[in-house]
Amino acid sequence: MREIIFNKSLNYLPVTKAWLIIKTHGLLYMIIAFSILLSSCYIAPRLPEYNVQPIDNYTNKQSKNGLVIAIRPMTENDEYEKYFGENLRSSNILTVLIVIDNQSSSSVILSNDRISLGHGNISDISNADSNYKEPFSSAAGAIAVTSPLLLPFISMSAAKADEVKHNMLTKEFHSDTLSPGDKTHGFVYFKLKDKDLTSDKWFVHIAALDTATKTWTAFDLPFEWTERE
Amino acid sequence: MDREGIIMRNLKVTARHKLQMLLFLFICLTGCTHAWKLSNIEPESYPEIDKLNMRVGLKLTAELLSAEYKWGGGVSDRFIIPLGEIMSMNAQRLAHSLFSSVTTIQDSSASSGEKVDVILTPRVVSVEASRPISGRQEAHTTIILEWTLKDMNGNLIWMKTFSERQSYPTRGEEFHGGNNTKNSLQSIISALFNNSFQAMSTSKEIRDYATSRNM
Repeated sequence: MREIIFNKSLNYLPVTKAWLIIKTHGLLYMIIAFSILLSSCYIAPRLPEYNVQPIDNYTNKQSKNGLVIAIRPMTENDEYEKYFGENLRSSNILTVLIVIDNQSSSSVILSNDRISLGHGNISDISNADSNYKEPFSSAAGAIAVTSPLLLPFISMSAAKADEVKHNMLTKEFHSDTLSPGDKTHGFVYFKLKDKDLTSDKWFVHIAALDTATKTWTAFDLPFEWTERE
Repeated sequence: MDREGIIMRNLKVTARHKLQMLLFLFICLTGCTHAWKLSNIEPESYPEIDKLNMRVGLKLTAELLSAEYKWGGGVSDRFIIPLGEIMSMNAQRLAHSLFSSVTTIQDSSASSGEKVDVILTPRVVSVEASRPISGRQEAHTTIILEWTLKDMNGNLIWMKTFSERQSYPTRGEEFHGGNNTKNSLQSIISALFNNSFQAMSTSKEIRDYATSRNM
């Protein structure tokens, strides 16, 4: 027993010595050291704007009653680094660019809560008919759009997380009313769960409201993607 | 003093120092909360227009009234600037400038009994406060405001989102009342409501609905 106490005390002696040095030189050094520990040397890089193409340049698009919607899922890690300053995939976030061109003669409303991500075959989803009443977002298995401010980035410093969220917000798709001839675009973010990643067939579901007829038109844009290790 | 006595004394000293270190850490890790107020909450003035002939219920939700800009906390001081009052005052001024009749509806209040044709709801989608740790960098503030106009059956008539952001230096402003932050917030809110007024007053969808109601 004495032997154990003796060995333990030897381990503590350098700590005691260090504390005495700090005490001798005042608390100033300690505060400086503590500040350095808490601070991050992270300096936010200036990130480029995403170059959105005319809607005709996108291959994954649908047109219904003159309303054209295109999507481009961001699946390359390099692109995340380039445009968001961080590989969002490592945080299980899938980002999808949405480009909309209202070439119809009616006004349409596009709301973020009517945009969702599904996995599997569209034909298996009974809600995904073109005249559904209930929002698909509330259907089982649908992944709703997430606000960047609600995403926890626990693997990075607070300053870096703030900067990433700022970049996500500046590029985010917002709910909008599009008059005939209007265009809009932006990114939507989906927080995936581990169980979602087993799928390789996906689709983005977007419902647009015709303000004149008060009917919803559903767009289901499929894409294939497998999470790579 | 024998060797065992020295060891025991060292152990006691170490325990006392550990307690002091913990106390020091506790003091460092606990910050104060500072509530700042915007110096000018006078709502925006809008140009006179032919008001839209609609009875509007302006819904001021608890979420809007409790909107705030905040940063810090944890290891540092926490700063809060309430935005609910300036947001609600601006929303009311905007609605009265655009529509012939406006009734304010709050979540907490019972229905006033006034008949309305449509419900206009402003919603603060997000208030982003990105503050640099180092004074060398700028802070970013983004406020996203969403408007929905629905008929009494809950059908959407019009919806639009406005986003305004500003970057500004913050070096040492915690010690000077946060003037840069306050000015930036006022400027953002001013732009948000001016853009909202511009969009609503020229909206084809709102005008079409008002016309169809009055036919």
